[in-house]
Amino acid sequence: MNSEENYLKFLQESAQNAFVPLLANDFGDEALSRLSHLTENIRSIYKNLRLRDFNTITVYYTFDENLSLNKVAHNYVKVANVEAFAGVNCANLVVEITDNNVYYSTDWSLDPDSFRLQSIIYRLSGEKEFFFGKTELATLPKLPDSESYFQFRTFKDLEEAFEEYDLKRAKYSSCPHFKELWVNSNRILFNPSPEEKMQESLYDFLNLRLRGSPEVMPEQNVDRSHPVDVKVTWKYSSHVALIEVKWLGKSLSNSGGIVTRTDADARDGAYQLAEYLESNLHYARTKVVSGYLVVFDGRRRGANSTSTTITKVKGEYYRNKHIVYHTKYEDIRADFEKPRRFFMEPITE
Amino acid sequence: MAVSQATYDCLYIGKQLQERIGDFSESEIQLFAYLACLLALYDGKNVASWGYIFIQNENGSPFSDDLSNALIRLSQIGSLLDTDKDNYFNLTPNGESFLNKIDKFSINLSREKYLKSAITMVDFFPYGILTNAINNEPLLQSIKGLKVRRNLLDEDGSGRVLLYEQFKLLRTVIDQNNIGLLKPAYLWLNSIAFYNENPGKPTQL
Repeated sequence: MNSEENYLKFLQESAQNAFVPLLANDFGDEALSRLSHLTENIRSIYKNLRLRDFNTITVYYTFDENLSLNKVAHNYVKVANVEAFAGVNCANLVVEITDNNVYYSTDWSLDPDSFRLQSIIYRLSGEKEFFFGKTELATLPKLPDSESYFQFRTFKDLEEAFEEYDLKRAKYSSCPHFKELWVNSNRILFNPSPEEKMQESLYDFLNLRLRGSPEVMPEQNVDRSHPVDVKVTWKYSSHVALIEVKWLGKSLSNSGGIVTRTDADARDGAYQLAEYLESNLHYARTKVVSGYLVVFDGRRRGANSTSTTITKVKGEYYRNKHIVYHTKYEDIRADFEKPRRFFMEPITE
Repeated sequence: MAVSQATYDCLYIGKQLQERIGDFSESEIQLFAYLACLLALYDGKNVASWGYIFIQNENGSPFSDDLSNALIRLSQIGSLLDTDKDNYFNLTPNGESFLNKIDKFSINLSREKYLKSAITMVDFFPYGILTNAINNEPLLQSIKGLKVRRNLLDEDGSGRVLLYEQFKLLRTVIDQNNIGLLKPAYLWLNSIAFYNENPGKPTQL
């Protein structure tokens, strides 16, 4: 097949299977203005949801008033403002978009087969998204850097940025802010107050790397008594990330002694972050907040204040020694994300 | 102030983008006006009937002097406001009422179909994928990096041939009775965004 035939084949398949033509074929071209209204609303609603908190999200527009949520669901809520979705908590969310209103139900599930002949139905289920045509499904392309076709890149982009930061900056201390981070080039002991340089490095990286022009701010107060190290606020979304930075290992102190931080300090960091998030619940009800604990791990086995070199075995001892968190906050709080650990490699003998 | 087609396009696109993404920049106005112009070509309209021309700017994106000047004039008369001085604009109440007055002019009624179809694509694609797709259509691709400052829609040029070739194939998959532009616009942009000539290799966007 030549490239023209391939291109034509792609167009023909899309004309049958892609969501816009599928729904136009089933409901007529005039239904596309309803579809546009539906997708515009999905986008607005998704600015206010953390999608990973739900098993399924179903959003529909019906041409049959007997299938409206107020006729079929036992309990439903009329939404005054889409920001109200920031407070919605359930496993399976069903949203109805009408010409002038938005309704949702948290305890009712929609059977597509009973609705699809008279309704445009969209569903997010796990990592899959699709529209139901009258008889066929149109699956939406999976975008690698986003949780949904209809959501601006926020938390997932941040999580990918952490992975990139780990490899490009933290792992080999390859960052301008890390020039003075270590006492010597073998990276065994930190200079005094390493957390400042780590925070600056992470802040700088995220500021450059994150898409969608989010505001990345260092050292923010969640409230008067709870500072966080970095706060990310996305412009076109209600999503906010609070990042707490901790470090492990040994550092020289300003008085010439040694300061040691162990995995107990990482656990304290997790506790602090959970406390920040709890406080935050009372201060920002219309925001979808996720908390991230980021741990820079510079632990070296047997290192002391005079160590200038280290063997391979001792230097790499902690590389795969993951921190044990006795309380797994990510399992008990929806707003607490899995902690990240950046192991900072030494140069060994 | 003379009400040009570019003035109407600025206000119309600006209002629609503002409703969807909060505000808009000059480059976004340029991009969606260019898409609307291409949809008019697909619909069989003559290039000259669009009312203003596009060249390619140094970033490889479409640019019209007329749109740029219209944006400046609309800012000067208070129809558009860049509150944060970050080159992102909002329509003021003055701009809204100006648009309401001029959108009934017959010259504008005839182009609304193209502008509306172009903007509706914002609802059907992730925003970054859509703007990448417009910037990667065949005409712009064909002269990327060549630093030519001529009318993008001039009759000659391999880009125009490829564009019309794509439009010809597109028409073959659209029902003859379909007179709307949303389906062809979606299918065409979807092909630029997701068609991969070499399966197995990621599509370059």
